[in-house]
Amino acid sequence: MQSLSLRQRFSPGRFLRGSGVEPGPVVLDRSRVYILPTPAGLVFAGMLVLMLFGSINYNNSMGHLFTFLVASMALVSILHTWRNLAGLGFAAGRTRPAFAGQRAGYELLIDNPAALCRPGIQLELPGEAAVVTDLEGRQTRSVLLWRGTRHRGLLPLGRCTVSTRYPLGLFRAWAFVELPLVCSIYPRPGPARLAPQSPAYRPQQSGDKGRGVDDFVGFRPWRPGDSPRHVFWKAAARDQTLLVKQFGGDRADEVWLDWASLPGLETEARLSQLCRWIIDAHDNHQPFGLRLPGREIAIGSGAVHRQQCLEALARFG
Amino acid sequence: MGKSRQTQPQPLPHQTRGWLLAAVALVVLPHLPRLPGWLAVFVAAAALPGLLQLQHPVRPLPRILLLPATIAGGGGVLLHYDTLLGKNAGVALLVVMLLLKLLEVRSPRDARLVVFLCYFLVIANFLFSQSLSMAAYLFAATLVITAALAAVTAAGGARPAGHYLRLAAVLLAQSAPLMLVLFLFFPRIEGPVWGLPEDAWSGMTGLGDSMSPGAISRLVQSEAPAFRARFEGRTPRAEQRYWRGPVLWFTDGRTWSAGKLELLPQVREPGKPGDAAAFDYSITLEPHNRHWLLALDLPVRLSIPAIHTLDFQMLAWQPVRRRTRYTATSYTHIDTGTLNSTLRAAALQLPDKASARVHDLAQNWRKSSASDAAVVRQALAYFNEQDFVYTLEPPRLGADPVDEFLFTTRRGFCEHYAAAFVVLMRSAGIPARVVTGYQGGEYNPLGDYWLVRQSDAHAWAEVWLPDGGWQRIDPTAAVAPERIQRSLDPAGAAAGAAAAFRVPDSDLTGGSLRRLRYLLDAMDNQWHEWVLSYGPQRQLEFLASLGIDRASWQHMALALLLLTGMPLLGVALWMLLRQSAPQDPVQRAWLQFCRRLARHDLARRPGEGPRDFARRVAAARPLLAGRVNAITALYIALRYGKPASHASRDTARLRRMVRRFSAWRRPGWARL
Repeated sequence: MQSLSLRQRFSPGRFLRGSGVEPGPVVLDRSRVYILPTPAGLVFAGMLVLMLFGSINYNNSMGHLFTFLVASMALVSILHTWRNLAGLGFAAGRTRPAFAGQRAGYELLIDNPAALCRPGIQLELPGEAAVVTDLEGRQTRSVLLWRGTRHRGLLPLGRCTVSTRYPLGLFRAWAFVELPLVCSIYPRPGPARLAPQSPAYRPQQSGDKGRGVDDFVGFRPWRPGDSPRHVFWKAAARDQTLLVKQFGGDRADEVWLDWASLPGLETEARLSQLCRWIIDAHDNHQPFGLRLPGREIAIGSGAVHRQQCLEALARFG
Repeated sequence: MGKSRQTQPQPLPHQTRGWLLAAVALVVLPHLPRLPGWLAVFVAAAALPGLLQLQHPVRPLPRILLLPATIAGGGGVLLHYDTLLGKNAGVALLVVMLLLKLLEVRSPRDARLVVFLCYFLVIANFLFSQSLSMAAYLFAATLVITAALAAVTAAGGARPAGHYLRLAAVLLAQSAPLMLVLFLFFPRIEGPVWGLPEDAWSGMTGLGDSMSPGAISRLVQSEAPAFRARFEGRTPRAEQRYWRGPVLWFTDGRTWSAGKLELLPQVREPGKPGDAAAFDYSITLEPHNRHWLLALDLPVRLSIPAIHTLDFQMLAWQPVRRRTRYTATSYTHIDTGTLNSTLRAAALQLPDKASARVHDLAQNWRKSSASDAAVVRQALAYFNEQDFVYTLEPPRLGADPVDEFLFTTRRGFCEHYAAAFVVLMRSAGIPARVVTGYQGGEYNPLGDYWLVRQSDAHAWAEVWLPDGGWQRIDPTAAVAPERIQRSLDPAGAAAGAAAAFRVPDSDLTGGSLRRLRYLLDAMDNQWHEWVLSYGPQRQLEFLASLGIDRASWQHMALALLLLTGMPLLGVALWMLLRQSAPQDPVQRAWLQFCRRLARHDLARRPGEGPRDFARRVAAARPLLAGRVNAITALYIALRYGKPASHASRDTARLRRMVRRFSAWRRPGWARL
């Protein structure tokens, strides 16, 4: 928990923007929770004014008493609304990386240190639908927030608004939480395209030079006489070019996916293409390595390897 | 993820519908008897689909049906009341709108509107009744409405019903002190500030300004209190407890009225006290929307401004529209002296078409008597000896009621006897007038006051005699002497039968019931005294008693701000104490330790155990390793180890170590 300096505490910008990213768990103390009436609260206030005028006009004592009771209840509910939020602790959890254009997930751990239950805690990222959760007493709960993505790179969680209208919905208490939670956004996978032939395909001495039926090796353009069973119809439908899946024999081929094999393309297009190749190679159980300017990931396979390579694409540049 | 959910417009859960239905039912119920019959049917018709919606997700009322239903409901109210304004029509309209909205609820917003309308209907109820029992009922209804509001707010994350009720109870309890402060100190303004609808003061019962046959027997059907009186010192006997109301001089043969109004606003000379000593008492008069201030016969002094008329009426400047309290002094007998010619003429006025039989009867008495007093005695003897019956349900009378009553039906209530007697006296040349008011009352030993109900309404006569002036004569007493001793029991009345009177309850059967009735009435009286009568005037008195005289608006506003702040602050403190109190000291020390490390970028990761955390800290900051390991080991032993006898000593040691850990300052710390 980071305590705020006096200057931070009274800066008006904090009211609108929050106090920026903080490293540790964020605890909502008194100075962080703001509270204002909701539209329903304003309607309620208008109703109270009407009730008061009616009571005055009819000189009705019980009318006065009841108006004051309901008004007091609304005022006391401010404290309840505030208490529902105050003291909650927020810590960063894991992230769920996504390809650009998909939704990235951020896990938040919310801790309720008090014995009281806290219903109707709402978490909201700008431009996203809010998530509502209930916390029982002394409970820590993880909440997954989703955020839409557009571009490759590292996307921080940004400012999350935590709010509640409990118990009567007349007031809304809110606080800003900005945790150092950064999600990797992989490039948008490019079109299926012929995998690089010469530098990536390294025949081994004991190999069968790329002919066989067991393992997928790569693509090559269609030549008359190729079996239609080996045509990659998906790509044919998309790109109007006929590719043929090449199969290797008893040897495990290794592929180098190289930045340098894609000259003439923009950076992002290159990364997209590499991304596509990584996905395809992984899906085909093809061991592969990745070469980026200034970075080389050795040949490997498996989900961790795939993630490592995609991560490298996300962080590129 | 667990139970967390995306916020999307979703249908209201059944539980929320149940809450809304309960709230609406509770607030509409007390209004039902006042609503026109067709609307009551409408309420029942609306309740049925409402109940069905509880079990099955019935689609809300389609919009295409809603508009015709609204127009039909509003039109019905307009047809029934001829207006949409006023408290009766307003409440009916509100009920129609509330029910239609209830059937049409789609979103939490709609549901919230239903709840707000419910609050409104609660306050509308107080325009009709402010009694203690009604207040208690509506307070309970408010509890349910507030629980409904909480349930609507939490829509989606449903909790058991008890949670919302408890929450509403806590909210209401916590707002009680603030409510009291606002009630006492919020600046009160004397209403009405602007015009009130015509029916604003309807529904009040009391004596009318005229009397025709059947007027008082209708009034005595009501058990509602007319006023309460408390005597200082002596209490008048039963036959002295005549409470004077309107005095009626003029008759058209059927109806009696005050007559020429210029008679009334004359300032009466203070009467000379008679031989009887004065009675001092206070009266709390229920509002009746007329000018009369009821007082014991014959009043000479009143503590509030009033017109004292020549015929001993006390008239308020404004109609009595709220409970009014005053003290008064009365004498049971005052010699009013001579009668001027104008008044004598008014007191001898007879209808144009006077009955010859009545006139002959009076003239016979006149001839056979030596004095006016003897004529009066003969008339009373006539009522007593002939077969006259005192009944609450007399037969209807035709064109000449007095003649018909005296010679044909001979069944009547006090207004028949009083009217007939005055007509007979005037025919005999004796000045006479009708006085209406109340007679008797029931003593409440718990509150030490006399409760006079509308059922004690009465009419009697006054005649002017040369020696002593105006004298009260009650012809009813000649027919039914019990009436003067006991209260009438309207429930015992049968058509045409003799009136029934309240029999003193035997101690075995009715004793405890009667005591309960006394208790309830005494409580109601206190309720009125302390709560309902608190208005601008009482507020000034209250502030003066606190030493605040002529408080300015600015001072009042400031004081109100401070005074409202205090209860709120109290609730806030109470909440904070409850929230922070019950935590294990060991855990608290550990959390403090973690916080201190977190300040130096050594925050404990979620899910990281104490041992792993200590290892990581020790690796990152080798200089701290010894202390961190010692604290962690002690914490683990205290929190997860077997309970040991020296646990409290160790706890203290842990706290001390944590404290010193933070106090440890060295130039190197910054670099650590």
